[in-house]
Amino acid sequence: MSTNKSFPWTDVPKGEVINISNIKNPLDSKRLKNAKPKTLSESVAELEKNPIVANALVELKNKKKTFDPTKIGTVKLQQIGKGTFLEETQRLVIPRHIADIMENCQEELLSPAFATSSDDGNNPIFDTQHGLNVVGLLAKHGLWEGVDPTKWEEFEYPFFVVDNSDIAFANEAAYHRNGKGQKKWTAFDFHRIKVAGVRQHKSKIKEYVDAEKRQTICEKHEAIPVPASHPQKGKAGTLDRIDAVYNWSHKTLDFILATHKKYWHGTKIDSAVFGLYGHLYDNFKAKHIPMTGPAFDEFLDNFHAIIKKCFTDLQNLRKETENAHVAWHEVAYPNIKNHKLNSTNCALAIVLKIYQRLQGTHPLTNDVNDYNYANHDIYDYLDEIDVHEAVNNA
Amino acid sequence: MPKIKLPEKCGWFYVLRLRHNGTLGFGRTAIKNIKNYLQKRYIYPCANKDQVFDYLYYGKYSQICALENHIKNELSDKLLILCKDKVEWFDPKENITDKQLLDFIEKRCKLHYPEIFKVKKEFLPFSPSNVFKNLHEDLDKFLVTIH
Repeated sequence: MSTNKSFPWTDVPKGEVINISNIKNPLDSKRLKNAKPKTLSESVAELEKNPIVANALVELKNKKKTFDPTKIGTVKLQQIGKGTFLEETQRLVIPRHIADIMENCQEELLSPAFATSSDDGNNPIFDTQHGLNVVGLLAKHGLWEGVDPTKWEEFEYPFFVVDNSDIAFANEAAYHRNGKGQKKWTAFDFHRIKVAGVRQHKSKIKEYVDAEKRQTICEKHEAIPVPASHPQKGKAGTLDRIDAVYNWSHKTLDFILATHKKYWHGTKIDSAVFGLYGHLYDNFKAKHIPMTGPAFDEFLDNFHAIIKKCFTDLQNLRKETENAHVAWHEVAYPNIKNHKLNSTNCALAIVLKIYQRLQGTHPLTNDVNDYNYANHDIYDYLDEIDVHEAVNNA
Repeated sequence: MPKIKLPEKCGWFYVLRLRHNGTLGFGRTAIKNIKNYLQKRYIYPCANKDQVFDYLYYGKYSQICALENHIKNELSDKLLILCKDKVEWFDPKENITDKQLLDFIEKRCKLHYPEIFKVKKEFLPFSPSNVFKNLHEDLDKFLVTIH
């Protein structure tokens, strides 16, 4: 591919054809429709082959460690009035959270009350404080079918009771239920639930439908969202920044990924694409600059010829942008302590500044004027690479 | 007129197979003196063997970095994991041959990195007794285009 000869640089990157069928799409429509749950037997058999798990098992056996099944908590129906709350074990109750739960309350989504035992016959709660308070409020106000509001404390509700009356244990159990040793859900896990909700269960929830549309846009441009643990993460055709996918409108996301495919397909999708192409699209649109036709196509070719000539690819553009920002910010804003880049249009501003210096004639967005303060322009701080030499020799 | 021209900011991309255990690895550096780099980084007294760079590439540094990133991304499932991190060595179980790696590198360079050149055969393997004297003054003497 080459640009119009009036622009000094004509070597434009070109996306490669890649075999996308090699990428295992965790949210593939066909796979999700036919997905069958794994049995515990299958899961355990798979895990015991894992070297980390196998080592942990060997260690337990070497230490002759065994576990007592009678110490596991048991589920029983208990009168809700037996639940007690200790501030050290549970947080202070948050009324707003109570109101939110009541507003969206679905019976099937309520958790059992997690509790310990105590000598006075009550059950100190170590998790589900807000849930149990909601249950109590609904019971007292006659909102549970078949429950007498005058005897609301006798309403029987599932409790998971651990027979341990040591208050220190309740505190430790609360810590475990609320974070200690738990693996937090990642942005991909939330995305997966929403997309699967639509593809497997035909959910109509607005938020889920939106997520599925974003997934479809990604798949259309062969940018398959994968979690951090995916064995193919980083390979061309995968996308590992699902959080960034939610920062842009559907049309902007479509432009971002289509542009990446046209110019860079075959190279890992760097997170730089989102700020670079996202602001380009949104800000061109805001200024009513046409984004179709030969003039825009030529501009995009010239834009990419700059990236290839000066930075080779988007990953290097991002790194050089981060370095230049720190160098520029230290001089432009010497009284501010943090010089780290925290805006997303900086790479775009740098490429547009170079375009302007090369006498490019296409209308530009206002980003070209950013990162210029007190006569210090970020362009002058691109000193780690050969940009100035290349621009001067163009 | 010299055929090969390069900007000032250049770097090396190297491929090496450890002489004491046969593990295949790769890496990059912007350090001009590749001999010093080999001695300091890869000659382990405990290995009790000389070490060489089996293959060397030289070129524009941003392209060298992009090449290394591409290898790490595309071949990530074949890299060795040490202390929970993937390192720039291939897992011996993958049995990656020199030819497979070189074909991968050179195919990528031909398509995307025109300013990366390979060191001529007569200077390889590169051992600490080799010297590229005044490399930038006579690039054509040491380097050849990747075809």
